[in-house]
Amino acid sequence: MSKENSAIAKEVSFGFLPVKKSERAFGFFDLLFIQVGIGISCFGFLIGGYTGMILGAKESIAAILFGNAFPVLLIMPIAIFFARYGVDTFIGFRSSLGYRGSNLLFGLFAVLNLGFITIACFMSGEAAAKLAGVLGAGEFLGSRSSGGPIFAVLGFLLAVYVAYKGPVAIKWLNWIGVPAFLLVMVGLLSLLLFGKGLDSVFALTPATPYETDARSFATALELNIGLGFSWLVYIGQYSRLAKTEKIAFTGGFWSYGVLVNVAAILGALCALTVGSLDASEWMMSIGGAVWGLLGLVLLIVGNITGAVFLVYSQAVSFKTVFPKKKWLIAIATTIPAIILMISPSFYDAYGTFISVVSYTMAVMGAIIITDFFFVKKQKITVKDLYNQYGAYQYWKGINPSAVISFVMGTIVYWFLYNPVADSASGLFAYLTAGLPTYFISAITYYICAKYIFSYQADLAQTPQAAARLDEKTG
Amino acid sequence: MQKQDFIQENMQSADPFVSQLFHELNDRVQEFADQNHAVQKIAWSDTVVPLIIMALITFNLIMMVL
Repeated sequence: MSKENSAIAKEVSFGFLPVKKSERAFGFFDLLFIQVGIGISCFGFLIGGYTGMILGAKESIAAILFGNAFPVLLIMPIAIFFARYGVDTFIGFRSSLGYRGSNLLFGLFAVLNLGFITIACFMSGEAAAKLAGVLGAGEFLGSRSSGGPIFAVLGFLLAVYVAYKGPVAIKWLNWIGVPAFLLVMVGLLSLLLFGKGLDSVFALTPATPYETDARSFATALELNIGLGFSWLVYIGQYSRLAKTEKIAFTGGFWSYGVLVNVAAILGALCALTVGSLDASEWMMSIGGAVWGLLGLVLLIVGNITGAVFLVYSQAVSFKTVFPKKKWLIAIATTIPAIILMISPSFYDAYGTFISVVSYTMAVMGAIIITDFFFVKKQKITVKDLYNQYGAYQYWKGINPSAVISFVMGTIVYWFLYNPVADSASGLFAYLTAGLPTYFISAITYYICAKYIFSYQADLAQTPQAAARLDEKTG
Repeated sequence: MQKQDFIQENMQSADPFVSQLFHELNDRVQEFADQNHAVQKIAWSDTVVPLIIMALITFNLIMMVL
C-alpha cells in the first residue's frame, strides 16, 4: 500500500471507529483553533457581505452576532453526544434518523456541500478573473462571466487532485491556505481601520436595503441564522475528539457561535464601504492596486484551500458511511459541483442557497437534539449505531417521527419565507423563519416519538432495557 | 431465529480492510459497553459562560431593534 493510500485508510478507520478515551487529543484551545480555522471562510465573508448590503454597520453587527450565536447555542448540545460516544456525524445521527435516514441526510449533506464547494471555487475564480484582467490577459479571461467559471473549474480540479492525494498533501496546503485567508482578513481590517476610519464606515448607509427596515433586519437575521445552523453536520467530526463533554460544548459555541463571526462582520463592513458583494472588488477598492493584487492572490489561495477541505471532508464522510467503496468514487461524488460553476448564477444566488440550508439544518437540528435529550434521555447504545439490523431500524431504516417533523418544518418555513422568490409572510419580520421552524419541528418530533410511534429504541436505555430490546429484536 | 449482526457479518468480509475494520470495531464496541472510554460529563454550571454571552448578544439585539 502506498504512503498516500495508507494515510487515507488510516483516516477512514479513524472516522469510522468510535474514538477511545486515550485517543482524545483536543483540549479547549485545540478545538477552538481548529474549528475557527475551518469556520473563518468565504461563507462568513459572503453572508457578512449580504448583511452589509441591506443594513448599516451597527445593525449588521447585531444581526450577525445573534443570527450565528443563537442557532449554534441551540444545536451545539449535540457536541455532548459526539464527545460521549466518540462517533462521527452520520454514524451518530443513526440513532435519531434511522440507518437509512442518516444515509439520506448524508446525501442531502453531499448536495449542500456541492453548493459550498461551488461558492469557494467561484470566489477564487472571480478573483483570478479580476487578477487576469488587471494583468492584461484580455477581456475573455478577465470577465466575471467567462473567466470566472474557467478559473473556478481549474481551482476545483486542483482541489480535487490535492484531496485525492489524501491528508499528507492537505497538510502542506494548509500551511499556505489558512494563513492566506487570515492575512486577507487582517489586511482588510487594517485598511478599513487606518485607511477609512471606523467612524466613517459606521456612518455609511447600505446600498440595497429592502422597502422597510424591519424586512431588511429580518432578512439579514435569516441569512445569518442559516449560516449558524449550517454547522450542524460539521460538529461531530471534531467534538468526538474532545477530552471532555464540556470542552466539546464550550469549544463549539465559542468557535462556530462567536469567533467565526469576525469574517462575517468584516464582510459586512467591506460591502458597506464598497457597495458591492464582489469580494475581489473589495480588495481593489479598499486596498488599491498593490495591496489589492496581493489580496486577490491570497483570496484565491484561501478559497482553494477551503475547497480542498470541503472535497476531502465529503469524501471521508462518504467512506465512513460506505467503507467498502473505493476512495476514487468517494472523491468523484464532488464532481457534479462543476455544473454549478459554469455560470455565476449559483454563486449570485448564495442568499437563497443559505436559506435552504437554514431550513433543512434547522429541522434536522431540532430532530437530533430533541431525540437525544428529551426522547432517549441521553441513552444510546454504541453497538446499535453500527449494527444496521439493530435498535435504530425504525420503519425500514427510517424514523417516521423524523419524516413527519421534516414535513411540518418544511410547511412552517415555506409559509413564513420563500427563499427562492424572496417573498415573506407578515410574520417573517417578527419571527424570521429558521428559528420558529426549529421549535415547531422539535415539538412535532417529541409528540410523534413519545406518543404516536414510540419505538422501543425511544425508551430510555438502561442495560436491562437494552437486554430486553435485544431479545425482542432477536 | 438467529439474530442478524451487521458487525459480525462484516468481520467475515473477504476484503481485508473491511474485515480488519470491523474486528477493531467489535473490540471497541465492547469496550464502550464496559464503560472503559467514558469521558468527564458536562454539568449545568459548565454552560453558564456561553449562556451569559448569549444573553449579552440578545440584549444588544433588543437594544438595536427598540
